[in-house]
Amino acid sequence: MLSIEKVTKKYEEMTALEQVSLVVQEGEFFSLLGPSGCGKSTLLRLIAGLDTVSEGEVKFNGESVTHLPPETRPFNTVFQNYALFPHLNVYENISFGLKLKKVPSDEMEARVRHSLEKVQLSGYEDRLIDTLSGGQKQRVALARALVNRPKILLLDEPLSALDLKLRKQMQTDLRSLQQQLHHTFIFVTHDQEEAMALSDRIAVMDHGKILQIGTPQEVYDHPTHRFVAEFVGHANFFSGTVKEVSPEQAKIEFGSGEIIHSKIRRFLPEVGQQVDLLVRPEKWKVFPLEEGAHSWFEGTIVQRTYRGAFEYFSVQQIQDKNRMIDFSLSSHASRWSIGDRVALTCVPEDVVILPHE
Amino acid sequence: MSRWIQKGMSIPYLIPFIWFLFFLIIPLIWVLSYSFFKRGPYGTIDFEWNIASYVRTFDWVYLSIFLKSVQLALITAICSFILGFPIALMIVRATPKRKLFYLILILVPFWTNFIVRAFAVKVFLGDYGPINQFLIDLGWLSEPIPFTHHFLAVGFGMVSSYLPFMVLPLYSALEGFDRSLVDAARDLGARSYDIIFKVLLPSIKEGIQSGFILVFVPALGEFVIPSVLGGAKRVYIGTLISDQFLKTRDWPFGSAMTTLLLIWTFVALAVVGRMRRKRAKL
Ligand SMILES: Nc1ncnc2c1ncn2[C@@H]1O[C@H](COP(=O)(O)OP(=O)(O)O)[C@@H](O)[C@H]1O
Ligand SMILES: [Mg+2]
Repeated sequence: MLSIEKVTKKYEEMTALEQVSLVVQEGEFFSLLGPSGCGKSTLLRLIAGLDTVSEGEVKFNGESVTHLPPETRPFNTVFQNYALFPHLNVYENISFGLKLKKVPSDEMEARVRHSLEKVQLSGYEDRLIDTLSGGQKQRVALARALVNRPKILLLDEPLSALDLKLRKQMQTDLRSLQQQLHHTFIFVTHDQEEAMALSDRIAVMDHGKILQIGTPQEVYDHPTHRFVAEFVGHANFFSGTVKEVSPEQAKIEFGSGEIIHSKIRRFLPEVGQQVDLLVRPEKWKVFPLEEGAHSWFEGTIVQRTYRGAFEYFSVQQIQDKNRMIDFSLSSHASRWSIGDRVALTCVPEDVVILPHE
Repeated sequence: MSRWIQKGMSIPYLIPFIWFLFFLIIPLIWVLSYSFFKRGPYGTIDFEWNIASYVRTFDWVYLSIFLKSVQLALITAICSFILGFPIALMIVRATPKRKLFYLILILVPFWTNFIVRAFAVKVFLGDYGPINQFLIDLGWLSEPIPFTHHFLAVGFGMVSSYLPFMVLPLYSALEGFDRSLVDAARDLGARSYDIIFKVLLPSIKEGIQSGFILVFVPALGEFVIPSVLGGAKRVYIGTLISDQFLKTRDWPFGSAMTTLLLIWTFVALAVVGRMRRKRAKL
């Protein structure tokens, strides 16, 4: 079990990480997700020991490793640009760590062969790094780390340099490898889909802070910040005012006097407070617009985007022509076209209350 | 001529070609043919075909001079590397503004005439030079150390002259070194020693080789520094050859030694080049 306790990292005048805390369980596939520059790599380097924390503690199985140099930490890293040694061949790259640990040569050979099998690169032992494709380099980097049997494998955007098809393939391989080995993986990515598809849990980061930690579903369905909601998927926001708060529900007024009773989860709003309401595009219930019928929003479809299994529609509101609302439907069920006038409603359970930003 | 131009051989390409022809190839052919002639009385040349000069080079006197020269060139290259590597490392790590300053500093020796430079070293190391005077003033010495005409003086002069030829290729190799390799090595358990000898030095091997060649080859034929700083007793192949042309006036013998020196240099370069290519093919 790895725990990061109130870790801050400062580079001269700029703060790359601020009071970051998290716990990663053994055998977990844990992702750090956030936009470029938010501090993901910095956090990973602090765990690996390649940088030192300014404040806070890094603990592994209850013992502080905060001030241990990287060579004594039982973790290994797959670097963003692979960082393979260009002067060594594949075998020498993978055996680099074992040689330093003076592993006997027959055991070393067996372990290198085994890890090459794991990444499907048997027979590539003598190849120089320059002669490998991006995907092959990626897998050599993975084997080079795994062969040391790290207690935690750290992966810094390992797939972001690969093309889409290869990336999907490697995602599957990576996940099945992790399930096979029961290793703890800490995986850095800026790609929300990738994080969703692979992870047991995700920490969403922005500007050196962790905003939310949760399962992919929690993060998607019940984001705690507007940033998280937008980062992990398509989102519609509209603002409302809190009228009443009971322990479980909040009565909120929005739009043209519409009232909903929404379940309170993480964020506890106060009466009179302005809040943001989030509805995911696939949660909308869409009807043809009829005079006198009740709905939350009414408008005209102005855009239709086909995305394979789903189709996305943009609705321009009748009351406020500058406001757009997006909804999505599975493509085979879609029966709308541009110019159709529609009414939108939603079950209150599918509305997420967020602090106003 | 017009056909050449059509084939893409335009005037700009011809200039280096002409340059090589007049300043390298023709003089070399000249030297090569002289080496097969004979010295006449009074330093003239007898145009009589023979290999006497080559036979003479195998005299132990000359062979030992050649070996001593190889030794001097090797020591120069090794000392330049030991000194130049930390310097190159420091330049690479400096801020961009400092970097430029250091690089200019490294190039300062190129601004001065090489003979003047050799004499400057002589003065510097001389009996009344700053080093000896400083040590005497401190009371550590009663007599000045006779650095000049000592091997150390020659070595010092050589290293200080050839250091830039080592630093510049090392610097450019280090500049291209991917620092994340250091992180990767540390992550895999490497300590400083392993990082330097198993990652850094092997990665900049080509720069080291270039530096060695750039220092070793001209150091082998150097004649100004040994004659200014080494005195008459320390004869190296460069001094020997220049003496054949300027003092003894035995042009055929000088040419024969020049030819052999060239051949050996090419052999050495070919071996290094082959080692490189062999590795690249693997
Ligand atoms: N060695 C460093 N010196 C100064 N600033 C740094 C250094 N490393 C990273 N940073 C800064 O810290 C912030 C976080 O960087 P990083 O962790 O690499 O982000 P990410 O991996 O999420 O893209 C960035 O603003 C970056 O400029
Ligand atoms: Mg990064």
